[in-house]
Amino acid sequence: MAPSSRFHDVFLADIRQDDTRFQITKQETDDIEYLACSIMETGLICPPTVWSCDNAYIPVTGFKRIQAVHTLPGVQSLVCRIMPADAGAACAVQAVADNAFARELTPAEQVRAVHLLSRFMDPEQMAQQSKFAFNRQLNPKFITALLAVSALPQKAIALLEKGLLGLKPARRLTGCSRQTLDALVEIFSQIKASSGKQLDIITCFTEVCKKENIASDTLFYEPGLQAALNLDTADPGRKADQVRQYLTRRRFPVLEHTRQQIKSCIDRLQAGGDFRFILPENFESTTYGVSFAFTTVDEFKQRARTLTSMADDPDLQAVLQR
Amino acid sequence: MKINRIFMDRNLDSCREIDHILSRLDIAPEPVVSPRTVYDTINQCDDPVGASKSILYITKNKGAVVRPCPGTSHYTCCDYTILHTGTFCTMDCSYCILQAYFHPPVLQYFVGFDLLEHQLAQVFSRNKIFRIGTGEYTDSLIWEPVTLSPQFLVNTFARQCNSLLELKTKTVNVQSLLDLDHNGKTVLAWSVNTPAIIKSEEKDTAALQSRLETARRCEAKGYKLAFHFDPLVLYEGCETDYEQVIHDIFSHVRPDSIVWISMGSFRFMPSLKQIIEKRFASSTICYGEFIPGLDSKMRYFKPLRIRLYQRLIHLIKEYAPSVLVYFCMEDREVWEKSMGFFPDEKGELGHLLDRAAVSHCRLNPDLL
Repeated sequence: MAPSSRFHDVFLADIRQDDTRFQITKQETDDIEYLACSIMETGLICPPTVWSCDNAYIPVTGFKRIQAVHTLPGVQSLVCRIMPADAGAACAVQAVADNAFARELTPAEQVRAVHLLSRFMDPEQMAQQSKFAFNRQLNPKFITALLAVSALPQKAIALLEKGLLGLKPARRLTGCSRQTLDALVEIFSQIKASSGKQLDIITCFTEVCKKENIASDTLFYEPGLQAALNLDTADPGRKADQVRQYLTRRRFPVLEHTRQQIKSCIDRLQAGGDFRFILPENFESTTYGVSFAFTTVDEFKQRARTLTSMADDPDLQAVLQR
Repeated sequence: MKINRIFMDRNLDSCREIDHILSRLDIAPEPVVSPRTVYDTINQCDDPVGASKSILYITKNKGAVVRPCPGTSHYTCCDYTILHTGTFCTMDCSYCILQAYFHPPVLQYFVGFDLLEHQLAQVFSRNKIFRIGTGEYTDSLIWEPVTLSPQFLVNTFARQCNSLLELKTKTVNVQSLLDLDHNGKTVLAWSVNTPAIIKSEEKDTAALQSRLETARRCEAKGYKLAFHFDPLVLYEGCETDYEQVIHDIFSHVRPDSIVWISMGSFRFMPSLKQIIEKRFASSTICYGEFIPGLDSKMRYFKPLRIRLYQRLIHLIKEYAPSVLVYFCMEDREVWEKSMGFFPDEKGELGHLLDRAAVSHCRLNPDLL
């Protein structure tokens, strides 16, 4: 049962605009000129919700609308849905639902939403309310994971907000020590990588530290990693690839060394561009492939002769022997 | 062994076997109608895998008692036969696949010598060599101090001539077996590893020296022996350490007492990694250079496996040129590069092992 609320004119001066406790969206300084014009022309289509608390009104939904009305000359009040003082939990649910039923929440918004709701309910209760708040069913385990993300340092949360850190990688970071976390956050603040690549980076970084029993800082300040991070490029995606490659080489030194050696051999074998070699994945299988294109019988014969002569090529031997 | 709770299938009739176990463990069993109670009890624990090592479920085997080893695709299998006498283990090896294999793992002991006897009689009547082991889903000798099962099996196998019984263990629990008339049909086998790995990854198991001293005692009683280097774990200096294990083996037992030696490098279902990370936080065993194998299990990058195999096989052959060394689940390339040959034909590896079984355990050679 929803708590009783009422619609009433509220003086703008009585609304604490700086109280953003219910705001789960990013606090942006968007131009609200058009929104203000719209309100002036057509009126406020959907009144904001405010929470009556401590002799003032705390915004629950409609932060931009309230801000826009503020800019309208001569307007001193607006109609709001007023939630009673004992409806804190309902306000939190409404603050989340107002966004979740309009569009899919971003990862950062999901994190802020569970953090907001956690002031009023535990993960089990949140899961029960999730259909009404999040517009989808969430399970308590996922909610607990989001809560753990919300406890990450502000710098990590900022990356999440900027889209520089995916939700899955962020969840993985919650299991890291503070030093490892700081190092990884620093890396992600300097690169731009997909969620999958971020997970690779986290996995390689943490596993190298564990395997070699070295501190995160030691790995972070290795010249090779620093060189990748300080790459002179404006493309953070390229940096990400360099970082990932460096950490993969650190994590799988023999495999990566072999891969490089074989790549050199294959590059030389394929130098003419007439053949394409297919290597077994991770060199576990012994099945190799080679293909070539031809347009005439003569060309076919020529390719076949080249292919036969390739059998004695030391590079091919090196590939097969690895 | 630290059993602190026993559940027992309430449909089991009292018998000497059950009375023996209960008197040795001295814990009042809780009768249960179905295994669900056991599963639920284990699943409610924070660490179900750890908890299930101290909760024993005594029941009857309701599935196949004798079954072929499942093996794995793409890699050569030895055509072993499993005698299913129980599940899971009281020891706590970080790499143990049983942690991820059963959901949840339940420490089961299957009673019923009559059933075993009946099933084995069928095996013994066939015109075929069988190599049968109880160490696939559990350690063969964890229950030796409290049950009559190992004695029963040794005595039962002693009376036939087409099957070899392999009891594979990391314990030193052989006391009740030493004076049995085994008739050469039982092979006592030890999984061996380097002292460093035993210390860091094989919690609650016997030390290498203890295993080898026990092997020597068994050899003195006429038992044939086997050793399994499985899992071989790669770490800095592992080659030297594994070579030392080989030196240690041959300084304890004679080569002609050894029926076979197997090798297999650490491989695991991907789901095991999380379990190891959670249950054995200080273990680094899953941070080797693993790649997904053709059977989707994680395996060491092949050249690394081959390099270690080559060194160890070379040394074993110096000590014991005629001992059969084989790989558990490796492919043609590994065999050829490490052993110099590959048992190509279907069942060829099994046949090689059967021949070793016949010659060491005096099985009927006409069945080869």
